[in-house]
Amino acid sequence: MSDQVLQLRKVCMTYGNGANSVGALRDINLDVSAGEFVAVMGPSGSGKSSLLTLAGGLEKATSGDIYVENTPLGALNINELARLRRRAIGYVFQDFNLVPSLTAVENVALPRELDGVPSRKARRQAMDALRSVGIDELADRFMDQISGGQRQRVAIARAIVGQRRLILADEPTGALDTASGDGIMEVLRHRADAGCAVVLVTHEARHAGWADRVLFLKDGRIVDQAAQSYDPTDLLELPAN
Amino acid sequence: MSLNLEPQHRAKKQQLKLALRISWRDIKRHRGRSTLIAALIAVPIMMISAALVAGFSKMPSTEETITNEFGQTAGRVSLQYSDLAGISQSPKGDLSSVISDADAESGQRNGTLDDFKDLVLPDYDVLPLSSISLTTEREHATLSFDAVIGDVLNPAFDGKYKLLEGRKATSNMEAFGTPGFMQRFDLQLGDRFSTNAGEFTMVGMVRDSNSNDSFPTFFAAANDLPENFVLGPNETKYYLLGQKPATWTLATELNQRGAILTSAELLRNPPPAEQVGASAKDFADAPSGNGLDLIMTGALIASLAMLEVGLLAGAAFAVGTRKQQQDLALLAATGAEAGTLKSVVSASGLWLGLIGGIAGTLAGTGVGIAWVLWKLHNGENLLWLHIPWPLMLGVVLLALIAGVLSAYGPARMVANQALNVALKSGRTTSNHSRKSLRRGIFWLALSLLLLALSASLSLFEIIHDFELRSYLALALVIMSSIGLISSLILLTAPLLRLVAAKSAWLPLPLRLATRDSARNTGRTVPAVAAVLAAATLSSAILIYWSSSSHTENDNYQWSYNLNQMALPLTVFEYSPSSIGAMGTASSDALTTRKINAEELSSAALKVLGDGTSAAAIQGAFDQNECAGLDPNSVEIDGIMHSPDCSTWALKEPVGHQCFVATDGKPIDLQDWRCRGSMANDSGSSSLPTIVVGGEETLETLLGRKASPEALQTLTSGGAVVSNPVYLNADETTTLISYDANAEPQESVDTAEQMSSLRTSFSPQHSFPLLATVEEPTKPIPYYAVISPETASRIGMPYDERLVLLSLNEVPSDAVNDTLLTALSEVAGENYGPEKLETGPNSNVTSALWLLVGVSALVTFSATGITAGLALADGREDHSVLASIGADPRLRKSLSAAQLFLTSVIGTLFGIVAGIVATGTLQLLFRDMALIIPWTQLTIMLLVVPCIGSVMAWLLTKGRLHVLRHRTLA
Repeated sequence: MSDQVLQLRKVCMTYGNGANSVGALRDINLDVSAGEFVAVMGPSGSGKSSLLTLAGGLEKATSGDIYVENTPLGALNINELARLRRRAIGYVFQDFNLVPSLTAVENVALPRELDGVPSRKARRQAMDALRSVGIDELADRFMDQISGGQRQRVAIARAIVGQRRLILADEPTGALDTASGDGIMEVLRHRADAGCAVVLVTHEARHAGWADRVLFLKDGRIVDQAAQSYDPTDLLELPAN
Repeated sequence: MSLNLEPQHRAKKQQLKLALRISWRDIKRHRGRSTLIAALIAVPIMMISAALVAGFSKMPSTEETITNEFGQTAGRVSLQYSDLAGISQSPKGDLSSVISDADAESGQRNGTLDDFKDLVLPDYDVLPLSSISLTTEREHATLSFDAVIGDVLNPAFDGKYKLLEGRKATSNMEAFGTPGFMQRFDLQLGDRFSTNAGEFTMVGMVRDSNSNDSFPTFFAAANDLPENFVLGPNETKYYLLGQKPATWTLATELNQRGAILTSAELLRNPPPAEQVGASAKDFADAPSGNGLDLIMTGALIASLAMLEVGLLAGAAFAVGTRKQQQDLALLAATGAEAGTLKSVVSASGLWLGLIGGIAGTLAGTGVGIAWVLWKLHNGENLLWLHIPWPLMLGVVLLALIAGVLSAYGPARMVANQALNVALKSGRTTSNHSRKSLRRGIFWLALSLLLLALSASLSLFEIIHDFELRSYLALALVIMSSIGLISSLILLTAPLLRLVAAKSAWLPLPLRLATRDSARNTGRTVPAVAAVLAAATLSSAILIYWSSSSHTENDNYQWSYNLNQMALPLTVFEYSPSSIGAMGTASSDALTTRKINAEELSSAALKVLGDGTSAAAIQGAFDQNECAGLDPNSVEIDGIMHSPDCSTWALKEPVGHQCFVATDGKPIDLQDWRCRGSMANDSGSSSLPTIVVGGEETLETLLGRKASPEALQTLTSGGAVVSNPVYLNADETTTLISYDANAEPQESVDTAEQMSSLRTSFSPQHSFPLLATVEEPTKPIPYYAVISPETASRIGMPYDERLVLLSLNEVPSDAVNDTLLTALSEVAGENYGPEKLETGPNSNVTSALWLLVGVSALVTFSATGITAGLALADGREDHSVLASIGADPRLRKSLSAAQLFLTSVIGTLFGIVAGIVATGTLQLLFRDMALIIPWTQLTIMLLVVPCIGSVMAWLLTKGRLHVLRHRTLA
């Protein structure tokens, strides 16, 4: 049995119609297995975020197939996609995207509670997740009471709570200082080492260096990929073709 | 292995709990917005609750009625005609509007205590209380007042009467008064007070629980009245003092003696219908059909008010939800299903509805209690503080439903949004115009269909039962009004798109406003909806009030022309032997006394001054008065008949009769034959039906100079007719005399009912007279004026009937008092003129403008609230404009233009909806004309948007906070 957590087969994504159409992704094929940390790099408009959006089931691909834990996303209705997101996928955003009216632990427990887990049990699981990212002492703080780095850790804790094996991180360090950013990368690395599949979209080669594999996207295509032995900054110097 | 994506057991419950928690936190985070929405719900709920407390406090419970009516006694016996066996009473006794189904026959004697004392004396002591009228002299005028004669401070009447101040009577000729009585006659405790029953010392102030303290009532003991002062049996009620319950068995026995029992036992435990017998149905409380139009209009306005609350709160929710969109999108990204997102917003409605409902109900209950206590403190005794708790809970539930419903629309909108778009920008543009157009047209068609159905129910009388038909039509009108409002809301977005497409020629601010409004319909449509609902409510109230006032004025029955007052020249008097207690004199003791017209006129003119004119009006004898005075009269069935006395009238030519429908109103309300003076036997005044006089009399009646043709007709022996209905084709009229006291003939054609009773009598004499029609300024009740010569020629007896005073203005109370005194000096003590004719309510226009002001304020509040929220929502647009160099003036203009557009469309649609809804409702009432106050509505249409725009201009800040865009990509 394949241990691929995320599979993309000939995935295309086009915005707009006719002459106004823009191809965001073209013929993307990608496999991410459990315990693998993949970084996606590329210039603005290359399709990095679109890739994550499709992988997270937030939008439907124009063509091609996407599988999460061997489940074809194209066959799911809107409610099944919602359940998939809360059971299998953890999303981490640049702006943290935490619900400001909830405390840290409540934010983390949210996907579990949405899935019908009783509040007390969900809170216990959330505390475990917070502990694993090292901020369990901030559990009862609201979002405006903690720093940016701490917020991003809360977001990661939310992404991993409930045994989810796919973490999609969209520029998670974009709003953080260097030290906080490094701390977040460390956490993501640990999650990958613990068996999660992590897909990281980043502009910074320094952060891509934490990944097992780096993909380079340009104009909606994967133009190159490198294993960890490469220095990610080398990719930036490669010719476009 | 595929993932298990089946819903988890308990997930729904958990999601609901989560939705409630998140929405509660969100409410706490946005206190200003939440307070506003809760207040929008709370205000109408407060008004409803206050009205409920006030309304229910006017309805006594059975025990309160018992205490008020009987004090500590077991009940009371009231007397009817004692010779009449087989009388049947209602279980409520004399408290029922239907007291007895007995037919009083002449010659029967009035009952006395002796008629039934053997039935009650073994078990009860009897305490009599009599209600009579007494009189007192005040500066030459005789004033009458109500008096209760009996031992009102007996402990048996505890709860019914209460000594407020002073002491009980300790010797003869000591009396009490209500606070209102003491005030009316300016009395202090210890003062002496003269009445026609003797001089009393006022020793106490007493409260009568059955009337307000301000009502003047005098209380004295029966043995203080002079011996010749006979208390009539029908004026006395005998209270039963004893422990034994006065049951239905006693009531039926008393009925056999012509008496009625009203008792605590019967009120507490009314007998079953089968025991009451066949008449039980007759005694059931009659349905109050009179207030039907009020109930229906109230229901329509209440429905519109709730709709208004829903839409206004809905608009606030819609704007709030847009601000909440980011959070909701995050929830969606975390895995929340569409239903959960809906639940979060709907849960806000639930919380705010609950808060608004509880706050509104508590505040309304407080206001209601304060009002009741204030009234009780001010001596209003017919109030009992009642709080209908179950209904109050219902009101809270109503608020809860209103909250959830108003949040549901925005919740659906949010749940259906594309997650990614929401996550990326936090703002979306709605583009459902075509769908809205289709839905709008569908709802419009459906509403018009329902309106047509309602109208045909009213017009074609498809259902014969009037009440059922009315309620059904009302339900249809309410449904179609809501449908119409919904359709107009749905059509707003397509309309805005159309306006935006044609806006290229507009100045920049207006162009930007139309384009932005068309793009951001999620913001604009709720704002338009709120204004629309407010304008619908306002215009419906305006139109209904304007129409009902107009109809009331139109149906007003003029007794005389404006500011005219009649001084009758005949006074009816009772024989001296019967004076003492009112109501005991029989008709044979009645005499008439004539008063000199000249003396009366000069006395009146002396008081009223130069601006007043007086004209003595002569006319045909009143038939009953004539027969009463005629020694040859014969009494048949209690009515005096004389061969020499007739009623005089004009006869309608064939084809000029006014036919009425089953509701008693003309078949065609605009039928000229049913309008004008004496068109339908209308009017109640002392004017003779056929007036005899010359030019001066004619001018007084017409209220203007008579035409030369009319004067010519008068002098040449013809009649100046008040209504063209009475004019024959050959320019003549037919003067007839008939016996109005005779048995009326059966109608020839029962299918057609005429408005005039006169047509059912055969004329005794007919006189064709040359005629000219000269209609009086107001349709005052007389047929025609003929000259004295003509009256003599045709043998019509006539005399001076009254003096008609024409005043320039309404006299003050002081002048009235002086006039009364002056007239009493000429005409005797009990003389009183008729009420001055002041016409229908003349404050319609000013009240209408006041209503416009209130309506505009309501609509403006809706505009202001939604605009404020929309402006807050559009702050980012202003930041963008500022960043590209737009000066504050342009941004202010943009805000003003946006608000203008929103409020113009909302107010215009609202007025249309109000007109259609009210117009259809009024079809139910055939005689109510639909009067649309165009001027007031146009001013509302202009004022609300203009003031709103000015406010938006002023409230748009010159300096802006720099906002950070929340983007993820």
